[in-house]
Amino acid sequence: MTAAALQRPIDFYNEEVVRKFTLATIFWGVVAFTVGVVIALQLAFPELNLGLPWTTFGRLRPVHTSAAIFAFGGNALFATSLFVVQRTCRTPLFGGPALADFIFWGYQLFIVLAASGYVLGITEGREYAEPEWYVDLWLTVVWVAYLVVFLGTIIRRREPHIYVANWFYLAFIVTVAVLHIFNNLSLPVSPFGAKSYSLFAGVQDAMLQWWYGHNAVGFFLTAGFLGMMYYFVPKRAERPVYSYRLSIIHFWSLIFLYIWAGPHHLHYTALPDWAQTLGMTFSVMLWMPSWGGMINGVMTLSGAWDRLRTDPVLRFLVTSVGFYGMSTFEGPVMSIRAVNSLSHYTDWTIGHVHSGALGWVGFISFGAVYHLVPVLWRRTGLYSDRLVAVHFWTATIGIVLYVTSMWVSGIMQGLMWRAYDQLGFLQYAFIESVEAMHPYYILRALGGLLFLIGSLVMVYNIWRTIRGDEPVDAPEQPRIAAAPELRPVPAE
Amino acid sequence: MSTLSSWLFGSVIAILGFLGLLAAARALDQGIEYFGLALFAFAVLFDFGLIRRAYGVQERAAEESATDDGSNIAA
Repeated sequence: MTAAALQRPIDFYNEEVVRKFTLATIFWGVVAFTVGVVIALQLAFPELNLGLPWTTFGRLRPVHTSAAIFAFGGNALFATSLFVVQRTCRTPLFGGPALADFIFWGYQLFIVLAASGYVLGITEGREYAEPEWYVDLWLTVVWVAYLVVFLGTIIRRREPHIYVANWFYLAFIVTVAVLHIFNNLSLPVSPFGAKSYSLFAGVQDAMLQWWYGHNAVGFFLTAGFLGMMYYFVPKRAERPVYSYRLSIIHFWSLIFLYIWAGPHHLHYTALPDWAQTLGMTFSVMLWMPSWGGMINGVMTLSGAWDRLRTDPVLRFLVTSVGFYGMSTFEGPVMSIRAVNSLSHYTDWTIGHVHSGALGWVGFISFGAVYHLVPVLWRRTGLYSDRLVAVHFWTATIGIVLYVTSMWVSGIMQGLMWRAYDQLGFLQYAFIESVEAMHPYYILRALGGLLFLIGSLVMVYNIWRTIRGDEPVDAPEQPRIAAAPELRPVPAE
Repeated sequence: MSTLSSWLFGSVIAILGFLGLLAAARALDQGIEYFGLALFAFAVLFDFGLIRRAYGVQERAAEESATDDGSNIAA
């Protein structure tokens, strides 16, 4: 550590806002996983809709998707981006603590407004963009403040080089702003009424929606979390990034190609064939930069593979990169028209989404949270490394159950829907395919329940750590587990 | 954040809160009504937070100048 760094006052960086976002990540994660289990059970046992409008699957499903993507994922991105930008720029946040607080509380207000709206039946009906116009406007205000803080910190940096993680975070912030604004262009019926109508209609509206929808995945759930990966994997492994040059190539090729992939959601619809083919082609090309990132993340462990055995937090981080590789191979395959003719509208899409959401997004977030908590709360380590391992294995088994049950049910649905008998009639009535799904829906709910149980183990571990309880297995925790000023000095 | 920028920021938030109250009063449905009230509550709480932070900074500065021995440097 340089002499200049040693002279920093203890509150040099704004860690208060990072602590708040970290706690919010954990809270909303549990909410998202719980609602996910509820709706999974509702699909298997429709009586659980309870006959009430506020508890129907139709209203709770967007609560789950928004909570998982924007509440859990969003708060994780806020927490880590604001931590990483300060540390890698060696500069406190631009705009001061009040603006940072506004971003935090403003974003939580957005989450509450959106979710409460869905339960009351207020929705635009656009997937991953369900909030109505007034909530969209509020999010835009908060997001502009976020961009000002993040970009301002980079502009005012004391470190000349902008670390690659910040490139990914900045691309995420800017692109999500553009996507959000264009997809949510709408006319309210009245400035004092919740209802609005999209500026677009028909297949043009569908194209815009899935340009947004796929890039919500590409920039919110991929670019942003790659920023997280590029900081926390090398940091935890105490190794340099495998290839910094590859990270630059990976960045530019990923952000260029991802934007075009949206039409793969609209195969065999009214969207013109040329647009479908364009989306398919770019989706297949996207496999390359995605695996470039995966290779970079996994190979950063070069020379430190043994840490996977001894550090369960690193295991979360590296396993997430493995799931990222899996999902970014599966995605391009499913983007191919012929494959999509089988997979579209089936549970295979759900399985694909959840291998990415639970395996990549969930695990990288858990790893980042486990790394950050001792640092932010100045602890010598996590309360229990063994509980981290329990969380890891419980969640992994949950993901495996979830994804494999959805693969089987999804392909079964696709095959049943297209099966013809010798006379040329459809072999199965639709309801027969619904009945065939039942055992897989129960397995999926069980998988989700295991994932939720793992997250509750994390809540307990984090709570004991923050409370100040001494680690029960301190000698087994790596040196990097502790806050920097409390780390044991390495033996000569 | 300087005093002037705190005042400006707090004023903008207060205006947002007033707009929320206006929206709640003229709301045609539950969605806008709850949004308006939530915005008003947010503005009130946030501005109280700004005031608390400003006084907190003053009090900490006063305490530090009374007891300063250079011991607040990170290890």
